[in-house]
Formats: sequence, structure tokens, C-alpha cells
Amino acid sequence: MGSIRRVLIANRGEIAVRVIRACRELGIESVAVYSDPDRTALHTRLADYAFHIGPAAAADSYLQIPKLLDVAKRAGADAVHPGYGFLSERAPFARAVREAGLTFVGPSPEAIEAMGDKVEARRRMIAAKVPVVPGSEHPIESDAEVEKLVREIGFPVMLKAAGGGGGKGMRLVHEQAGLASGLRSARSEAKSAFGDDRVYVEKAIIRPRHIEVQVLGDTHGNVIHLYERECSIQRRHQKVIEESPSLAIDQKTREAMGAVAVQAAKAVDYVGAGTIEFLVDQQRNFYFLEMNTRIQVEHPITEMVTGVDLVRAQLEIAAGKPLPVKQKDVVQRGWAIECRIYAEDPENNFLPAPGRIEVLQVPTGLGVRDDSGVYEGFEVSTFYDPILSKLVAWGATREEATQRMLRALHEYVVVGPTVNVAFHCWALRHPRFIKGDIDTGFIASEFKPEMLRPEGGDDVALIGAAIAATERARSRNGGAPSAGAASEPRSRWLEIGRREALRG
Amino acid sequence: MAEGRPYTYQSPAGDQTRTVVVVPREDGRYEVTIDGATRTVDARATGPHTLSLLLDGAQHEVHLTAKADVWTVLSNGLAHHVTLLDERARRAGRSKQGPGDKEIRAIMPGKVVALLAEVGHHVEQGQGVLVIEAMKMENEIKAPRTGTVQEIRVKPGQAVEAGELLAVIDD
Repeated sequence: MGSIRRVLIANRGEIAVRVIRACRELGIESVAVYSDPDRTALHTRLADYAFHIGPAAAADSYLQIPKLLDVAKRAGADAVHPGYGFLSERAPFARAVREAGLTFVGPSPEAIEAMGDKVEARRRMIAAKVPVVPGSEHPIESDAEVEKLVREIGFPVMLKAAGGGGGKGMRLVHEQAGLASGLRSARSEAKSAFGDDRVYVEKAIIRPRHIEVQVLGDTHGNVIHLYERECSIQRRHQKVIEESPSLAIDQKTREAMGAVAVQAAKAVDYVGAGTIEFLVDQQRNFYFLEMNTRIQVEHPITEMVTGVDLVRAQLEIAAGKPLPVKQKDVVQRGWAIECRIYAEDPENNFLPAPGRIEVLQVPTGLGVRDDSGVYEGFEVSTFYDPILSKLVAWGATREEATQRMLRALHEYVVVGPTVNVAFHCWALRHPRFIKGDIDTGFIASEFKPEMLRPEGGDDVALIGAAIAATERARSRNGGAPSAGAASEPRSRWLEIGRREALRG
Repeated sequence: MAEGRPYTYQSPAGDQTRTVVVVPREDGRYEVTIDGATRTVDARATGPHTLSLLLDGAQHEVHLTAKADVWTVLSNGLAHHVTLLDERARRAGRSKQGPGDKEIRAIMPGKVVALLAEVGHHVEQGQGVLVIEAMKMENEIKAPRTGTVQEIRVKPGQAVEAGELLAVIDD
């Protein structure tokens, strides 16, 4: 261990930028890696050093362990930060980094392995007296055995791929009639996605809330929690809006969940930043869902509320330093909300909508933070997750944070890719969101694509387009712009005319 | 105040068509008439794609891109697709929006996961025709129009490139 001078960041996009920023603040040099289309990506531009690691497909670049280790060696890096996604939760990567004599900014490969295998994780959690959802302790191969267990725990049940994640290979079955077909599709999806068609069965929690607890562990055996994040607003089992604290739990439940999260992390000798995810039912019972053994996408809301820089803490912990704060000094102050800005079309089934960013206007002002991985002129490619940035608003109260977020969303402009800004406004204005009456089925049960558009269309759009079309026609006809007030704007009009002429 | 010549557009949207007349004024402002109602608009370009509009003192910012006669206007966080046909476009027969494209093309590279319709099937506009996995997600590709599936050019498991023709739907 010892000090860290130069960190290779085995990731891209906004999280790579986030790590580069923390490195620079600590006086640590950063080494970026980039695939072909990412030569001009923001993370490549911001790092101290940048090395090419292959073609666009992640399997040939960001997931190539030998290439990454080779770059680390050539660049003289002494540590590797995995970010989230990609190799961040692959124990063989953490192990390879360690064996190459480098520091892995994260937990041990043993901890990743224990928590990455859902069955093993569940076994360890039961042993550590962490509450888990009733269900099978082992993955089940035979359908008959599934049927038998389902009779014991009762419907509804959730079928989950043994090696799954991100919502793949998960099926909710409400009644006996749907069991056979649910099992068949869960197995086939699990087989194609993970090469393993075993599933495990658990009691489904109806209208659950997804509430997770941030933990930090150091190499001296200390583990603390930094309270909760509510991540119930999800589409296709992926989070889009998160907040901290959660309205759903009282102080007693909050403290209990924190203590259990620390127990869970200690059970695997956890080091670094990690997250214990819980399902919380309508009676505030909470059950261990899984542990994410890495930094989370939504970590900024915890940072805003607790004042602890989690990525900085990761780097300091990796360098062998003790935790930056004691448990008693961690307090939640105010409220923070995160909206993930995705290049996707909420009016078209949230389909990814990549493209070149022609205009990017990002909100600023009191309590607003935009953790972005893109810039104006950047081409959002189809090869990676379509997240552009994470917009975070902090307020003294939940109401203030919500109002501030709506204000920030109003200022957020992305031209080119379709983004989900209007969707976020819809969600934040929804009476159920305002009341805090949310669960993981919120979007599926409340959202209809036609809700985003005001009735009767938008005359402002029509007026703007007609004026732009007129100016395009005038510039094409070679009409000299008139003198006076109009001459300066006209020169910019000409630019629109020319650009569109090239395009049209 | 001297005024320029009027620019007249037809804007088809759904089952109605609106008429828009724009008259640029000497002072840089515009008289905009929509279906007979006229407003004075102070419009300034604040960027290569951005217009600041003052409508009776109310400030609106819109962001524009265009492909031929179809303008994509970002207003209040939402993209609006506005078709504007001038006289020349109308004469050239680039008339109203048709019933929707006949061709279904891949909008991004991916892999065909499943076919939901077969050649000869009748499909309604918006009905799923095939499923493509791209960017880690399965996406149902919907029929752009009502009609009969004339051709399906791909098979499950096949990799497709952006822009590749997947299926054809016609009457």
C-alpha cells in the first residue's frame, strides 16, 4: 500500500471524470484509457495521461484485463480505480491488479466474490444475522423443486438468475398458472445473458421500495455507514431518480438499517466504498437484496447530504489511511435528489437515442451539481451506457430540493440526442412523488408516453421554426441582411442557414 | 416601418394543417400569423441553434435543427417535430405527412433477439415487429404504419448495423 501517486482509471464517461477530479484534488496523477470512439471523450481530455486500449466494443477495450494492466505498467501507475460497471465487480480483475503489484481501489477479490455470487452472499448474510427475503438458499435446477419451494413460501414469487444483475433474468410470478412460463423465460434469459440457467426463488415483496445504505470500510478494520439513498424510481429495474434521505423510513429504521449494513460489510471484511441494497416493504421491514462492491452511480446525493467526498475517501482508504470520519460525526443535512440524464426517448419506450450533441447548456446556481461525461460537439455513441450526466440538487428540505431540481431541469438543454429531461419534470411533479408515495413500480404503473406533451401542441415551437425557416430561405436567396439592429443577429442566422443547408 | 415580403408555410400535423405567415420587419422583428391571428415576435439568435423569442414580453428559448422541411424544435425540454412546407415544397409534391415509413431500419447497431411478426401478417401502427438488443437493453421495434409485413430481412441472432433495412410494411 503506502501512498498513491498515479492512478489508472479503468472506465470511461462521467465516472471516469469524477475519479479524475478527485485525483487532481489530492495531487494524484490520473491515467485514462480510451477506445477508438473515446479518443476525444471528456475523460480522455481531462486526464493527465491517456492510452488507447482498442476498438469501440467494450469486450475488446474496457473489459480487456491484460491490456489494462499493460497500460498501467507502461504508464507507471501504482493503483487502479475501476469506477462502476465494466470490471468493477469482477474478482479476477481485482486479483490480477493485486498480483501485478498494484493497489486496487476497492475491496479484496474475496469480498467481491462473496458478494457477487447471490447464493454465497445470501448464505453469508444469514450467518451474519442480516435479514434476507424468504426463499431458496441455493440455485435450483429442477422445475419440480421450484414448485415445491413456491408451495412453502407462497405467491407472489420472484425468479432470479443465479449469476444475474441489472434486471436480467428476473421474473415476477403472481400465481400458479404463470409459474411454468415464467420459469421458462427466466431460465432462457439467464442462459443467454450469463451462460447459467439456474435460478433461485424468493418471496416477492409487493410494492417494495429500494433503499440502500452507503458504507465505507478501511484497512484497519473500521466500517461506518453514511445513511440511506432511496432509489425506488426505476424503469426496467434501472434507477433514474434517487434521493437522500428517504421519506419512507423513520429514524429508528434508519439507524437499524445502518447498523445492519455495517454488520453485512464486516461479514466480508469489506474495504472501500460499498452499498448494501435493501428492499423495504410497506410495514418498513427491510431485507438484504445485494451488495454493490464499488462506487455507485448515485453516490453524489450521499456526498451532498453528509459532506463526505466518497471518491476521495476511496483513494485515501486504498492508500492505507483510516476512514476520514467517525460514525458519530456522520450526519444527514438537508435533502439531495439526483436525476440521471440519459440519451433516451421516454416517448419511445425509453429507447436509447444517441447522436452528436449540437447544443449543451448545463444549469448552475446554488445547490446544483452536474456530474457530466460529455460536452458540446461530442458524439454520444451507441456502444456504451447512454448516461450523459447526473444532475444533483441539494436543498434544506425535500420540497426545496425538488423545486431546485425542477428549476435546474428547466435550464438543462441538450440538442441532438433525445434526453429524458421532460420525463424527470413529469416525475418530480407527480402527486405521488411529492407525497413520497413511491415504489419500484412507480413508472410502470403511472407513466404514459403521451403525458409529456401539453394538449394543443406548442405554438412557440411553431413560431420558432417558422422564423428559422424564413431566415434560412432569405440566406439561401442571397438576400443581404439589412443594417441596424438586425445585422448582428443575422450573421448568426446565416450560420444556421448554412449548417442546415449542408445537412438537408 | 418598411416590411419584407411575406413567407407562407403550411404545417401539417396529425389530421390538420395550419398556415403560418412570417413577415420580417425592418427593425429585425417579425409579424407571425398563425391561422389568421397575428403576433409581433422579437427573435434573436443566441447561438447557432438557439433562438430567444419575446412574445408579448414573455421570454421563450427554443433550439432548432432541421432536415429539409422538418424542424426539430426543443422547447420546454421537449422535442417538437414541425413540418413547414413553402410554396416550392408544395409544388414539388413534398406534401403532407404520409401514413408513415414503409421501411423499418435499425437505428443503432445491435442483435436481433426475436421476430414478433411474420411475412404476410397484418400489423397495426405501433405494434411490435421485432426485438433488438442494443446498448445492453432489449428494444421492441414497432411498426411505423398499419399494413402487411411484406419482407423481413433478418433472423434472430443476427447482428445488424445502424441503418440496415430490417423489414418492409406496405398496404
